[in-house]
Amino acid sequence: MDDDLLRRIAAELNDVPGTAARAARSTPLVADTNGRIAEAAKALPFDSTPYAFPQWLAALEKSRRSP
Amino acid sequence: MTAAIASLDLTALAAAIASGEVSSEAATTAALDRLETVGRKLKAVKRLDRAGALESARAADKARASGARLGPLHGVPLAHKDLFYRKGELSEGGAKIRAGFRAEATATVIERLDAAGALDIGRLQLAEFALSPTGYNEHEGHPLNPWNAAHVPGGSSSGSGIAVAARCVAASLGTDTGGSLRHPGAMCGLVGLKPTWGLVPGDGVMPLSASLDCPGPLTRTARDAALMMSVMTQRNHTLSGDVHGMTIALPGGYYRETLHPAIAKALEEAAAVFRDRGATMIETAPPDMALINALMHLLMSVEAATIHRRWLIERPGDYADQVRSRIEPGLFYPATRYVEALAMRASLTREWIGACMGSADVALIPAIPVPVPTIAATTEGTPADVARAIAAVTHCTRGINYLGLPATSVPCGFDGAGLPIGFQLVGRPFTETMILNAAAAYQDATDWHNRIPPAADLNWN
Repeated sequence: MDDDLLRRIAAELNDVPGTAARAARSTPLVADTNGRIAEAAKALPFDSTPYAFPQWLAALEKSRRSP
Repeated sequence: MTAAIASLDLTALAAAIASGEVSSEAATTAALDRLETVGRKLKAVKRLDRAGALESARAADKARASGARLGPLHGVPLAHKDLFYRKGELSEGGAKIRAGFRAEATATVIERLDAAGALDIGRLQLAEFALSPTGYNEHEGHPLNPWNAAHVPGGSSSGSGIAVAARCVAASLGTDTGGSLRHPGAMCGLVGLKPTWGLVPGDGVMPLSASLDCPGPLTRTARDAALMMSVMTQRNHTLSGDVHGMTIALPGGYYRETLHPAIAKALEEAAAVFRDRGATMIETAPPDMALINALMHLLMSVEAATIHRRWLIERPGDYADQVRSRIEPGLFYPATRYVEALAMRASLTREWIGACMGSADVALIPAIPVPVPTIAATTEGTPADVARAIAAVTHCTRGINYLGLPATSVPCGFDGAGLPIGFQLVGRPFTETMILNAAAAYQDATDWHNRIPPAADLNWN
C-alpha cells in the first residue's frame, strides 16, 4: 500500500484534501491493520454476516431472561 | 455540612435525602459549590445551571414532604459528560467545532435518570470529541488528576472522573468507546463501568463510533454503579457482595507483557483478596490481541471518519492534531474490510471468552498496565513518543470494546507517585451484576475506594 494511493483515496473519493496531505503518516498503521484483517478474513465462512454479533447478543439476552 | 454531604457516596446520599436527613437543596448547594471551586480548579466543569438546579432541588424537597412516591435517586444532584443531550440545551462535546450546538432531543438515559428523581445540574469536561484516553483537550485546557495535578485524569470522560473522585458529585454518566469510562475510573480511583454493548441506550448521546460506544456510570463504589445501572437499564442489579463459589480467571500473555512491577504487585494482592473471600482463581491465556486491536481501530476510525468527514473538509484547523490523527485513518480503509470487521465480531468474542475466561465467571486483567502518565509525557516529545504513551494506556481496554463485553475498573492501590492503580473485571455479555458483585466483594474487604484525593480539599468547610 503506497502513500500515493491513500492520498488519492482521501482527495478524490473522500474529498478531504487536508487528510490527503497527511496520508504518509497514516500509511504504516493502515497497511498493518488492513493486512491483519485481510489475513483473518480468509478464515471467514462463506455465509458470514455483519449481523452475527447483534444476533448472538440478542440470543444470549433472551436465554438469560427466560426462566 | 458541605464536607459531610460530599463525603457520602451515591447510595448513602440517596438514602439520606429519602429519609430527610439531608435536604436535596443542601446536597445540591454542596455539589454546585464544590463544582464551582474544586471542579473548576481541576478543569472538570463545562457549565452549571445553578438557578435551575436549586429550583428543582426545592421542588424535590417539597415532593418528599408531601409524601409523594420517591424514585431511587430522588433529589440527588448529578452532572454528566458533555455528550449527553437535553432538548434545547447546549451540548458541545469538548470541541471547538460543536460550540453553540443545542440538542434537539433528550437522551433516553437522561430521561431515565429524570424519572428516577435525579437532578441534572450541569455538564462536565471531556476529551475533544471523546477521543483521548488521557482526557487531552487542547481547546479547553488539560483537565487535572485530583491525586496529582501534574498527571492526566484519564479520558475521555475526564470531567466525570475528576468530579466524582474530588467529591463534587456522587456519580456521573460517561461513555466508553475504547476505555473512556475505565481510564478515568482507574486513574482517579473509581469504579468506571462499561456495560455490554447495546444494553444502555445510546440515543441522544453524541456518537464517536456506534459499534463501540457504551454509555455507563462513574462512581466510587460497585454498589453505586449497580444503583445507577438499575435506573439506566430499568433492570434490577442487586449485589450480594459474596464471591464464594465464583471462579476468576487471570489471563496472562498479552495482559502481562507490558505490566509495570508496582501494578503487577497490586494485581497479585487483589487476587489474594478474592481468594480469601472464597473465589477460585485460574490462569488462562488470551488469543491474538493484535488482531482484535486492529479490528477495534478500524471500526472506531471508519465510523468516526464518517461522522467527521464534513468537518474535516470544512474546519480541519479546529481539531487538535492529536485528535484528527486518530480519525483520519478511517478515510483510507475499503468498505469491504469494515464489513469483514463486523462479521468477525461474534466468533472472535466467543474465542476470547473461551481462551481468557474458560470455565470462569469473570476475568481479572489490569485496567492500565502502566503508572498514570504525566500530562507532559502525553503531550510533549515527538508524535511517535506521544502515540506510544497513549497506546500504553489503552493496552488492556480498547480490545474489550470490539468484543462488546461488560468491564469495570476497580481501585486497588497507589503507585510510588501516589496515583491510583486499578484492575479490570471483564464478564460475559449481560453479566454486569456478576462483575459488580465481585467488585463489591473486593471493596467490602479493602478501603482504596474510601481514600480521598488531596485536591478534594474536604477541610475547607
